[in-house]
Formats: sequence, structure tokens, C-alpha cells
Amino acid sequence: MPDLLTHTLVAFTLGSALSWRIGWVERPYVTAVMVGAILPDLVKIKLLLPSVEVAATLGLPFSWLPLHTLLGVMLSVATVGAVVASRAARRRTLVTVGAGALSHLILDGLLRTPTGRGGPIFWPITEYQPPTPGLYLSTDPWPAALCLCLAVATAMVNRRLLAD
Amino acid sequence: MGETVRRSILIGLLLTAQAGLIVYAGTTPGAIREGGLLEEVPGVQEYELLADDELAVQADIVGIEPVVGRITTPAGRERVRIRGVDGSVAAGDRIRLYGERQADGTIQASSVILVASERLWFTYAISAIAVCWVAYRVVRGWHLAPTGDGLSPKGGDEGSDA
Repeated sequence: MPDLLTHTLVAFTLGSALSWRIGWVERPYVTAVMVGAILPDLVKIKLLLPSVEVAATLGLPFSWLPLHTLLGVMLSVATVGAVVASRAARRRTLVTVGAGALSHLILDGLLRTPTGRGGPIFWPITEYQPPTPGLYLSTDPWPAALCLCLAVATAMVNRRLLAD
Repeated sequence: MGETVRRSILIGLLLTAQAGLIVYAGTTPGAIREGGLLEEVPGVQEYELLADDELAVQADIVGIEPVVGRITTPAGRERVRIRGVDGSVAAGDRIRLYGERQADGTIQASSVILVASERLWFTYAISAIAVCWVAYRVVRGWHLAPTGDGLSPKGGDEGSDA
């Protein structure tokens, strides 16, 4: 998947663009979009706690994969909304965090992979792995650079709109 | 039923559902033989057995003459000779390859993506910056709601848009 900076920059740009059209999407909810863009990468916990070792410790079958599927991400978004947000802010938090999470999955669907296919994001409904256009590797620096330029331009538009 | 109780039940249900998915994902080896459609073989990371001896796997290069990679399979971690990548990788590199397991246990790679080791650190570093940036924005933009039931946006925050 692209680095987290790319994800958060895209989320910042997306959230800001939403704020231009939707009145209640103010700065805190742009932040919520950015939080959502990070959520699917909770699966990276596997780097610290490999599924194999957790399964052996717990004595249970175990895989972190669902954290990066559509259903697992929705559950993560709902959990964030239920746990973190106050009742008054919950619905808007769910929408904005969900938008950020969805942007993450879309960006990951553009990655270059050895098989030419992405991950099984629709699991467990289907194990279909969508083909990917293979635009970049997760370690390529140019997506972050491009998204940084977009984010800077977006911030400049935000400042102009605030000034008006 | 009070709001707190309802919320607790909801959170419990959500966490149970998530835990259920995680355990269920660890119990589906059958899908692998039919197409290897799970990114993680149960109990294995970064390894897909696609059909017959075709596989997609991530390998950390530990030797270059010959090229030997460390991979994780259902049998555990192993070092394996990788053919088809000679001269294009260095020790410490991480590669993602698609290829075929040979009768002698080696892997003949037909498609390789190289992740140069220095780029991995660059990726980790800028990802850490991103997390710090988001955390900063959360701290600046959100606070405990007056009702005390969670976080809510701060009102009238006209700070810089960064």
C-alpha cells in the first residue's frame, strides 16, 4: 500500500474538498477523514505481532487480514465512531472517517503487485482479487510528492476561502 | 436502556464481530488451493499458493551468490534459493515475487518487484511523520465533549490549515 503520508495527504485533500461543498465538514472533520485513511493500515500490526505467533500464543486460528478488507474496515470505522466520538458528533464522525478509510482502499487498489491483482478486499463475501493497474509501489516516493503538491494547493485554496 | 449501556453493547458487538472475522480468516485453508485468494495463508504471512506450485511470496534476501531469500510458508520460516533474479538484488532487499516452486525446492521467479532496503526506511519514516501530523490535528481540533461521552470538534477553531 502507499505510505501513510500519501494516504493522509489524499485524505486531507478529499476532506478539504468536501468542506468546500458541505457546510458541516469543518477542519475537525477533515482531520477525521485523515484518521479514517490510517485505519486500514492497522493491519500493519502484523509486522510487530505476526499472525503465526499470535495464533500460537492464543491457540486459535488467527489472521490480521480482515483489518484490510471492506467489511473489516467498516467495523473499524464503526468502532471508532462508537468508542471515540460523542453522541452529537457520532454520525458525522462515521461519515468522514468512513470516507477516509474508503480512500485508503481505493489507493491500495492501484498498487503494483507481482500477480497483477490486489488484495481480497471483499472477503468474506467473495475472495475475488480485483486486477490492479499497477501504478506504483508502496515504497515509491513520487506518489507522496505528487499528493503533497495537491495538498499544498488545497491548503492555499482553504486559506483563500477563509479570507473571503 | 441508558445510552451508556446501549453504547457498551454496540461496542461489544462490533469488537466481537471483528474478532470473529480475524479468527475466521485463520481457518480458511480451503480457499488457497482453489485460487489462493487470501493474501495471508492461515498462519502464514505474505505467502499465496495459487495453483499447483505457483506462488506469490515476499522474500528478504539474505544471500546473493546464489540468491537466497528468507520466506515464511505454512511450514514456517525457510531459506530458499530463488532463480531468475540473479544480479538484480542485494542482501537486505525485500522482493515480492510470483513464480513456481521447483522439484528441488527452489523457486523460479517469473515476476519480481524489488523493494530496495533504503526505500523501506524512507517509507517508515514518512509514515511516522503522517501519524504525528494526524495526531497533532486531532489534539488541536477535538476535545472531550461537555457531555463527557466522547470527543467532539472544538468550536471556532481558526488555526492554520496544516
